[in-house]
Amino acid sequence: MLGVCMIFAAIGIETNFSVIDWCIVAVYLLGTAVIGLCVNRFVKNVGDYIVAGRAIKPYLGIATMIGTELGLVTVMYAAQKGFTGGFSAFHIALVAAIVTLAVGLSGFIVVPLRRMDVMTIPEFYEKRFGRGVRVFGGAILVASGVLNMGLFLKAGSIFVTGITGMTSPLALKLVLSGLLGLVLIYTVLGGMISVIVTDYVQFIVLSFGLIVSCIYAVQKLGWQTIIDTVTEQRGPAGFNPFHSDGFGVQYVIWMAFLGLVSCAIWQTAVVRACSAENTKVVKRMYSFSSVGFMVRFLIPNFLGICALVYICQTPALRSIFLPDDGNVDSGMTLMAMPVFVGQILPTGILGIITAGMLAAFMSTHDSYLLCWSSVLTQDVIAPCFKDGLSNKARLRLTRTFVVLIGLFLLLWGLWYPLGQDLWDYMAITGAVYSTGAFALLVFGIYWKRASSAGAYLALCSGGLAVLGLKPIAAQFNLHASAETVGLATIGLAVVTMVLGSLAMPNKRPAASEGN
Amino acid sequence: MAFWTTFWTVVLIIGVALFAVLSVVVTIGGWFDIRALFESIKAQHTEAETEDRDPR
Repeated sequence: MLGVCMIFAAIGIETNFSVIDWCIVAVYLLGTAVIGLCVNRFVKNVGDYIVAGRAIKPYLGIATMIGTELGLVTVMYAAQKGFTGGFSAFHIALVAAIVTLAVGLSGFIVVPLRRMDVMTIPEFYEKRFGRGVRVFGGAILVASGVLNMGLFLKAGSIFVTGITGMTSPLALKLVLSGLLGLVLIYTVLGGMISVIVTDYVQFIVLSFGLIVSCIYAVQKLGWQTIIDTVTEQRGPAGFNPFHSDGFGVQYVIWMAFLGLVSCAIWQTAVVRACSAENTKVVKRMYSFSSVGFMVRFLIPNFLGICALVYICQTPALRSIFLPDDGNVDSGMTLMAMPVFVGQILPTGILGIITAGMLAAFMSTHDSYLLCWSSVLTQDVIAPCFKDGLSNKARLRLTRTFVVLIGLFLLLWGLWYPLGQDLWDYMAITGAVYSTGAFALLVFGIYWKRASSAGAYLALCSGGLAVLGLKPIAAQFNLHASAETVGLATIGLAVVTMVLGSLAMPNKRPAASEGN
Repeated sequence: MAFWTTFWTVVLIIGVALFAVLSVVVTIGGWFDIRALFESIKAQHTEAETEDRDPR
């Protein structure tokens, strides 16, 4: 990150971002934080804190679900995919929409979970496989989740650098630490209720902001120029996602699985289903959110494509982002979209969009912080106490974990060398949990004979997904792509779940929800 | 390649148009849902307090 800052400090980034935009950002962010704090008075017990009293209706559910999933980091990694993959990257959006709609219409996984009245997925593990699986699965979920959000701050700092032209590393660290501090304060105090209200505000600003950016981008560059430049730069692989020079069939299948994970297995999305008023609301929420799950990739993908076109037309930027030797740092490709947006949008609108993006950054952080700290409290720590934990103790523990995870993020964001596309990093860190969880949820809900032994084996198999991370693969001299490792891990988790359950069945077979 | 160009153009237009409509609907509907959420939580608290006072 410091290297990227230094390159831009040397050449100077041109941007339309002005003092007016900074004022808009400051007022907006403080306003959001104040709203988050004001709803603190509604929190009286752990149910209010974690699932907002299970009183969320469909429209608010859709807003908060999209608000959480359409964060600054999503916009950054999806734009990076558009920049590197061209129009082919749209397949990620399309499969995400199809899978989410299928989950919404069928209620696959999410309806049985809501019917069981669980707050977290590990709570389901306990009901189905026993307390040990809950604690073990909860620990894996938190490790995977915290690693998954480990580079959020890095992505945030690249965004701020690109859009505002701020290149001083110290100023950047101060701005981002300040944002994280604000999030920590209102998440610690307000819990899920403040998360939901701030998600709603962020949904409004960001959805309108993204649509306006799209229109501006097409007006500025021209549709035919966009098509022609992608053809020239990426060839057929820039349009056909199955082309072997681009993503390829394996990657598309991996994306379909990740689409399912994002909406039905990933705890931050599932907690919305668990917070819904009833199973009918869950189905409606998912069906309508499929549009949001598509757009959260589609529009940023498109902005990344537009950034590619704009950079091709600007010689000063072209030499940095598209050097002749083709060696571009992944931090640089992440920076392309914010630099582009900072140069095409006028002052004022730029401030609103930046405020929306930073609010999205805060909103994703608050949801994720709350989610992982509540899993740690409810599923890893509390089950270890024989007499259980009081409501007060649970609240205090959850709030302490929120702060500790926040501190970890500050350190990890500065230390970890990315070395691959941000989306691929996130997919693999998420897969450490999701590949095992997929087997536990699907077989636990829909197969009576699934046993605790099978569950342990599947969770352990899922952990192997960590081999898809570039620095770890390099340690073991592995040359498999992230999608190969991910798909192999799913296969292994399913096989070990089935074989383990058949070889070591539970003494008393559990009732299956799906039947 | 012509097929993919047309296909992605259609996907983009439909996706953005659907999202624009959804944004308007959810913005309005979400406002009423927030009010309902606060009322529901208040009612849950009142109910819990009543039960605490009169456990029967």
